Amino acid sequence: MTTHTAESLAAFEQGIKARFADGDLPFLVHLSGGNENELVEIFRDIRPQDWVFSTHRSHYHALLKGLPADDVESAICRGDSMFIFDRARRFYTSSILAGTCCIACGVALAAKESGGDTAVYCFLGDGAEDNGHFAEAVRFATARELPVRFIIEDNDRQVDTSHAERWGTAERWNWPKCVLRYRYAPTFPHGGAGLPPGSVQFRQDAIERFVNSQ
Amino acid sequence: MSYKSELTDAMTALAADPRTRFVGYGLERGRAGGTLMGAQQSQITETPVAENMMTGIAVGQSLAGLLPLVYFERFDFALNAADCIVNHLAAAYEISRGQFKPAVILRCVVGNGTKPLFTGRTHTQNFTRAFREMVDFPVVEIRRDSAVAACYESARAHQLRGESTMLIEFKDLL
Repeated sequence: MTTHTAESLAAFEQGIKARFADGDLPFLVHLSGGNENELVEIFRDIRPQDWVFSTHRSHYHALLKGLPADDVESAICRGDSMFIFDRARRFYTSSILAGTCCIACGVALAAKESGGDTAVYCFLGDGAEDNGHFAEAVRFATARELPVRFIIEDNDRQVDTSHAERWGTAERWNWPKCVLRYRYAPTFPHGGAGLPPGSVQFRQDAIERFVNSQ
Repeated sequence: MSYKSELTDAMTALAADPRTRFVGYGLERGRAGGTLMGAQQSQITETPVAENMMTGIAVGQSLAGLLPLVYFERFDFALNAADCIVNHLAAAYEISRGQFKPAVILRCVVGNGTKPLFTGRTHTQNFTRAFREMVDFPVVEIRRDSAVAACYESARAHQLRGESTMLIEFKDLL
């Protein structure tokens, strides 16, 4: 369903980076990057009737689910980088670690009971993979054979801490088949645009725009 | 009528809508202390003992157009679901700028403190005040038999408008 390419995704995010560098985005943003090809491939299977549950790092997911780039950019520019939603396109986000995994199960359970042709895709990072709420959801989805797939976007980073640092081993846990993992090297840090500390001066008009939008 | 029979009637009234789902553990076997006897088997969403997951499933069911109720057999255990209740159920409307309005009835039971079998502190705590601080939907204690029907009717009316309700029952009144 997507018309985006790896190049168009990267260009979009570079545009957001430029606005951040210009002091136009005085709030936390989580930029995507380094996983364009993997996501384009995954979204080839995702249809309009399917649900997508995204994360704090949602820009690419939103674009690939079919949200207009102008709408995504507008949301980011009003401080909603972590809160991009689209009811009509069945696109839901949460910046709470692993918080959507069980909600995705509920949607999938309802879809299965209704007998319709709806699937659910729930994205999470390898930090959220550590959380028990994800494990509960995977067990429930597997046991009930729900039409849900969990996609771990593994950038070996829980904020800034690697898998080996937090678990004492770099070996990944083996999850059931409803879980897909892809690994990538992120272009940007956890938050912000990777610019030198103190190099961004946030503009007063941007700050006022944000405050007035709340 | 007794507190329990009022609760049973209230659950039966909710079950009259085929979109209703009762979510929790032990519901197929115990029917929430017998109060779900009027529910259809297909309306029971049996889960493991994982309160955050129970609530998340209910939120998802609501997003899909169903009318879920989550049963916490002790209010103490609802703390395991606090993340989903506070950061998702209560927050979705605001953070999505009105696009998503998950609506769930949270049915919580405070354990008995005045008659056997006594179960101790971690089965008898009442977190009504704490949840009133954390969520922006009604958190209502049901302290009289005669209030049961009205409380659940109100909760369903709220739910049909896209709003959640937490209702607190007291085992001492059974």
